[in-house]
Amino acid sequence: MANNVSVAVSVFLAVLLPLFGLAQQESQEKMPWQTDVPHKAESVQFIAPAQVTVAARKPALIEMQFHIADGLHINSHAPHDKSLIPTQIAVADGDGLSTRAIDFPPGVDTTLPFAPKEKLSVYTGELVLTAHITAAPGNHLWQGILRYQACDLNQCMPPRKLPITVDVIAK
Amino acid sequence: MKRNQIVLIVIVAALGLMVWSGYHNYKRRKAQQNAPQAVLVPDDASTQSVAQDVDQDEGLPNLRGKKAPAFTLKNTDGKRVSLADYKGKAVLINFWATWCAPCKIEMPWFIELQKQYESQGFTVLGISEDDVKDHPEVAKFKEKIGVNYPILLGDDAVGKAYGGLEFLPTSYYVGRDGKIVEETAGLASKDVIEAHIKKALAAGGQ
Repeated sequence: MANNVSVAVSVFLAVLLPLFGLAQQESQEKMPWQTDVPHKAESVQFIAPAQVTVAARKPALIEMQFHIADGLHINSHAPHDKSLIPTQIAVADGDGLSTRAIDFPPGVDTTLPFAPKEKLSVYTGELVLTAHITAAPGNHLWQGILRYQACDLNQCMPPRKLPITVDVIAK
Repeated sequence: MKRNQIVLIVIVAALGLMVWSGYHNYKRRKAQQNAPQAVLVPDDASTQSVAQDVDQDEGLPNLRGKKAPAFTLKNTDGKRVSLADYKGKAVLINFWATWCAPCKIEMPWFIELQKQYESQGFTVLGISEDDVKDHPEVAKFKEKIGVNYPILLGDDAVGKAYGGLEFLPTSYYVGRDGKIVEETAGLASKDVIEAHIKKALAAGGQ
């Protein structure tokens, strides 16, 4: 009886323990029943704000926060090399809403391993761009498109456009 | 006694399998951590998705062993050039852009390798992914660094045919039989590039 139990336990261990190890592998891969396309992280994300409240008919600011994915950089608003694509915002002002200017922070000078003599002016990590606006009383939608071009240490992604929408309540 | 031995063997085998699968899982997670961290999502909804059968580690479509997609494009002098014009030769198809710093690092290497292997039936074909409005800059850059191989002006069709070009530089090494023997994304060392050229020259026979 004791021998039968020990054989049963051994078989149990022999079958289930390796499956446990393999299951850890498979949990990181797509399961057969998962039909959705795997999510690809965007290299630049618009974080905030979704909404701002401002004084009507007076100069106001929208401080737009962005996150640049770890390991990537985007060219600053004024790259040192003119062939590089700068970070820019195109604004579509609507009725009762006008944008006077967008403030870009200075880029950080950096060099890459394969070109130590060439300085790049880039943004990494968290980025804040400030829009100077004036809004008539009421609700408005501030809309812009951020154009950027991202690289990591060895390769570059094509230029991209990121739509930005901020709800502006002017009182 | 014999049964106890069998039990012992089974237990040892089970533990060995568990250790192996755990180690394999650790190595796989380590490799995934070292892979490129992020991939861009196309911002234009009309853009077609990357071809199926994507190599998840490199973000490249797996075209190895397949016939290189045909194309006809204009060079910087306005002349039409086709991949078919190089039938029977080994070809390095290199997608690049003037705004891509890593791309411009490897181009002087391509110039040297073009000189070195041209007599063996090899050529580089550079395909620029610059916007149409920047094509004059492409021609200027070509002259500035002394490119000695054709620079073609890419379009959407050739980009899609070669997997959507999520990264630049992207290079495809084509053997004499017209089949892709190697594909790379990102800056590679000159030694690696040369090794791939030799592989392309050796592939497809005479």
